[in-house]
Amino acid sequence: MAELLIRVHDKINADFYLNCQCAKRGDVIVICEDDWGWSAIERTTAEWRILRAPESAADLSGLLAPEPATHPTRRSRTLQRRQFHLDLDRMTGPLKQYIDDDSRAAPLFALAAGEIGNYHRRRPPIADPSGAAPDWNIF
Amino acid sequence: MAVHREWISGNIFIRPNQLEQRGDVIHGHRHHFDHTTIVFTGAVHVLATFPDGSTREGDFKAPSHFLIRKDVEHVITANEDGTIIWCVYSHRTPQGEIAEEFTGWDKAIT
Repeated sequence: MAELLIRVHDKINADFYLNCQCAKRGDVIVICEDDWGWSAIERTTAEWRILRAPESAADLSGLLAPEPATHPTRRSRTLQRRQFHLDLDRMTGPLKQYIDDDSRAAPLFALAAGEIGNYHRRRPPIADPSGAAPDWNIF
Repeated sequence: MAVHREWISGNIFIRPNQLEQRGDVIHGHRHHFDHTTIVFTGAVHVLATFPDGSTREGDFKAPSHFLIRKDVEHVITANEDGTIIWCVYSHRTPQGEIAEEFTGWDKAIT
């Protein structure tokens, strides 16, 4: 089993490119083993939630992968911190209530086996506003 | 230009091409599947013609790669002597299912 610290509110930077790299709503920040000793801030801040999943940390590690570059020497400036995220807007019922509750009445929420797959989504690439073609090597 | 025998690695096909002299050309052709071309040595110029008739060009110097989507006609010209490129593609997913369809770039990453 594993416990995931996820962000529920976008982290914002005034610079467009730095903002692309900031963690966003649904991003998994870290995955730890079951019964992890989360800090008081991690258990109470409105920015994060903690989900407990039956799957192992290794099985879920793909949620920590950054958006990969499409070329070894020309990296897009709009690569995002996470390639995948949990689509929190798809959550319903008690889980949605937990996600929406900034008061953090409950420190964590336990998911059913396989449930996390219902929310696992790939983030679409972000277009570069400077006009630099992100797909310069794609015809 | 020397076209070597095609290699198979798992579900991946590899077609190496050697463009021995600057100016050597792989003439315009298209495929019914996406493929990636890896530029191992040298450099190439790519002229792509899309199904709507529009064109785009690009230059790639090793180490580099580019993706040619299905039905895009492409002409590859060596910009340097001793250019070696590998065309890499798959007709099946890693799970073995037939994938002779447009998968784009995004779905190539699972």
